[in-house]
Amino acid sequence: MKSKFLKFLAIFLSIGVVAAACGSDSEDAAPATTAAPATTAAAATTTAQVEVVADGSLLDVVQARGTLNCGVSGSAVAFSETQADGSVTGIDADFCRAVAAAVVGDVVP
Amino acid sequence: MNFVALTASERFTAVQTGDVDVLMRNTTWTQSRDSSVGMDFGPTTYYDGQQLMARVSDGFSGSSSVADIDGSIVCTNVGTTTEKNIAEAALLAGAEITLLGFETSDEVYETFIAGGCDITTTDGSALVGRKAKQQPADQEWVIFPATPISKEPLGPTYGQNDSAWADAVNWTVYAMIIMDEYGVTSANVDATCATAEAEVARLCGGDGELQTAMGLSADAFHQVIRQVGSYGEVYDRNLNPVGLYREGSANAGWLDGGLIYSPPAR
Repeated sequence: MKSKFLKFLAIFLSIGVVAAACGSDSEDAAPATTAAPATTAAAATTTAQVEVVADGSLLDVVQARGTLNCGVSGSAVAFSETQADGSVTGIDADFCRAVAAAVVGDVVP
Repeated sequence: MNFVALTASERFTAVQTGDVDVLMRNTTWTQSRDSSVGMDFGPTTYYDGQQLMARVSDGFSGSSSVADIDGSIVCTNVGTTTEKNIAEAALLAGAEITLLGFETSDEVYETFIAGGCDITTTDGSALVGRKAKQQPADQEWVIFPATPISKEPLGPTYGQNDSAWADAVNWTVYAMIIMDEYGVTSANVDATCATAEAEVARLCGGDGELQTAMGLSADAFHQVIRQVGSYGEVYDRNLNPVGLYREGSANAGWLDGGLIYSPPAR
């Protein structure tokens, strides 16, 4: 009885692994709706995400540093142009400022 | 906020060594960069394509094709997708060209203006910008072919396999796109957020907000719009002055027939 259960469990887990390995983006939702073990999988995923945020992400590094280091061209007209006063203008420069505003809260200078 | 100016060939190393946290550097999303180079890519912020620019006095016009550049000296930047695209396109069109590579864009255009090359080639947006800014009074430049020779989706780039960082960068861009869809700008964001409901309220940091779960402050995207602006605002402010408009282009919103689209904030 016990070995039969383990065998069933092993088959079930291997199906899960195969499904995870083969699933394309659009298919990812399918296994989650099938059976009870999906709940366990979802809980584990949530825990993992919290750990990523708290542990080892560049997000923590940038927030601790308090400033964003953003790589630009500096000579791409209207995208990122370094001005005589050292400021940088352009749409790419503004996307840098946007990430700084979101992550650090301030875009100064 | 610290800007680091990088040449095309320096940029990926600067991410890998930790000198920069993210690249906002006209970087095309390609398969090799996404895999073997070790980068991950965020949402495309500008759909571009490579074109060529030449002098009208050399017999070129807006209806010129790549076949017409046979025998020309072509200048471009090293370490870019541009180099490979023009070599491939010339081969396919049966045009023999001499390719001169430069480390910086400024060198490319100095050489082009001085007559050291017949053709300069890079992303269409950059050609439009340079033409607007640098075309001498005694020269007339023309950009061709009308349909670009390549796809150049430009957007944020960062080191691979850091999902929390990728989410923070990506959703900053998405928030700017969604707020633009709702007509929210830096001028009206405070008033809008005070009374907003549903999706805008969530992005503002109100009921159901998801920013804190991402490791950001609840009002992170409110700050983005207040301090920098929506996607449309940022696009118009920077690109309209050089003659680049969203209307009728791939950079229009999806409801206007373009490709700028965000997943929902919920």
